[in-house]
Amino acid sequence: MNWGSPYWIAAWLVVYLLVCAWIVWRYSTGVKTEDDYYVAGRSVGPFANTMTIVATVMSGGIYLGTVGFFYLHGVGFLGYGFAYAVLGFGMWYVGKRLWPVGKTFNYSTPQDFYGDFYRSEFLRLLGAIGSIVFLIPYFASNAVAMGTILEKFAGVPYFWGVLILTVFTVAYTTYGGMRAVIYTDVFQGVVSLLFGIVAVAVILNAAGGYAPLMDTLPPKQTLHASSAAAYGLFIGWVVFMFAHPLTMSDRMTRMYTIRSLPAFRMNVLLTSGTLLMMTLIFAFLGLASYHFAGPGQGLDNAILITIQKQAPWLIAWMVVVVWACGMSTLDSGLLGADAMLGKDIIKRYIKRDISQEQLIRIGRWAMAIFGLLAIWIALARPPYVWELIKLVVMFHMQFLPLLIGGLYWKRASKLGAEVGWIVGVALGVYYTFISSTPPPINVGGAPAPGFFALIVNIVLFVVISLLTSPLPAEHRAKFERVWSGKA
Amino acid sequence: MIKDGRITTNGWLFVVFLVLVLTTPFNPFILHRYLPLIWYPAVAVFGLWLLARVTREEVGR
Repeated sequence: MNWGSPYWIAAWLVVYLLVCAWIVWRYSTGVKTEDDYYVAGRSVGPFANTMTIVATVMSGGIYLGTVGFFYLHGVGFLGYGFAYAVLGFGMWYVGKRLWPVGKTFNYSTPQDFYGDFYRSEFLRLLGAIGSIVFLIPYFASNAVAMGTILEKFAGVPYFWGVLILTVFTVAYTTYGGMRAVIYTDVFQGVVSLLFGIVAVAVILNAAGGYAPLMDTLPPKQTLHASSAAAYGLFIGWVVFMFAHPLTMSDRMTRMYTIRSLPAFRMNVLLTSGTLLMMTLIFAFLGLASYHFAGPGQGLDNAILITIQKQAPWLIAWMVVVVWACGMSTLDSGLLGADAMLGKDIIKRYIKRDISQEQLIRIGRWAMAIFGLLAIWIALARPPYVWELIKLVVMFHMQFLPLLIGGLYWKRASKLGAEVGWIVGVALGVYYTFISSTPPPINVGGAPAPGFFALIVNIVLFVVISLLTSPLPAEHRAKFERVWSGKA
Repeated sequence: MIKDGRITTNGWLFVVFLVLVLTTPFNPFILHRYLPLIWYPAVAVFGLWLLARVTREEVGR
């Protein structure tokens, strides 16, 4: 059989899209309130919440790009995975305080918390605008991955791949809101993880097993380098990947959607375990790609060559997985951007008495516009898709100090949060777009601008908070009562 | 992990966990080519076990 036949691949995609449509229809009826639409009625169980976080973290290019990084750097890229080992603790300590205040004060965006807690319209408004601006190119990066893979394997013109994906995703997200996002994410996450498990089993078997695979690889693939540069990259990736699930608006809101704190505990454990397994899958696929494709291949190409050589019957599944990963990230991002536009900007500054129905209706139109913008960027075919992902993480990781500081440090001040954040974002943008030299503390690679900016941000946040008045005691007490269960 | 201003057993275990994670690139015990990719899931499982302990203790508070 011709496993690479465009008709065969297209048939898989049609089945996949039909299942997604059925899930949306089955699980998304009865969306009436703002809570239903943006945070799925705060009633999601631990398994579904886990799969939606995992599927959202797995963006469209992850099976190409992240596997590609393991192909290029070998085990030196494991900082990416160790971040997820630490992430569970971050998720727990942030979520166990964010979830109850979200429920009590009806939060559904990150800026709800930053704006209310720090009593800062600056953080609320600029945070929301910046987040939306940085998310749109990120949407486009997912569309690029999907358009590219469909063109390569199914012979469908790039334009149509980008268009079909984005229109379909916008349609089901506008229809079903967060419930549609979460339950399609469950399907998309399961499809993607199962693919990884099967691919590792097949490709490791083709390599003769673990030991023979490692025996054939050069030391730079199998051993950590002891240089300062290699350690910088390791630490850089640990911080980069630790920060983004806690701060990116499309992932952080999952700490509002879970139904209870015991369910959140299970959610944290399942999420950590799944992300750790996912990284192991990527590491094996990256190393095996080096074995089968040899050195010198492009970042995105090594795994495709390996699959084509060793398991061509997996090609159609892989195309579906790239689509599933892209759609699961795109839908969450669209809804996150929509919530920030509706709640943090329109309801707060433009029409305070807006009804829930009006808010949802405006949000649906906004999502269509975000989708069109993503299509426009994707059709321009940005030369290096990973730059767009680097940017969105760089921006959101600057929220980390004020998030953790706000939840756990009584001295945290409004001015410290505002100055630290804006300086962090400005430095990150400067070292990404403008400067021709790397930042003074340079961990290298994608994390470099965001890492340096985060250090400056933390220092400013702490120093200015110590030098200025903390938040008023009665204001902080409002939150303390919720955290102690007395509200 | 901290109770009444003192680091608990879980707190010390977390310090050990962080040291194991952050010293990975120059850990002298994983210099054989088979070991870095075994070390990663081993540390991850330790982290998950500790996370389960910490969260079980704190979920009721």
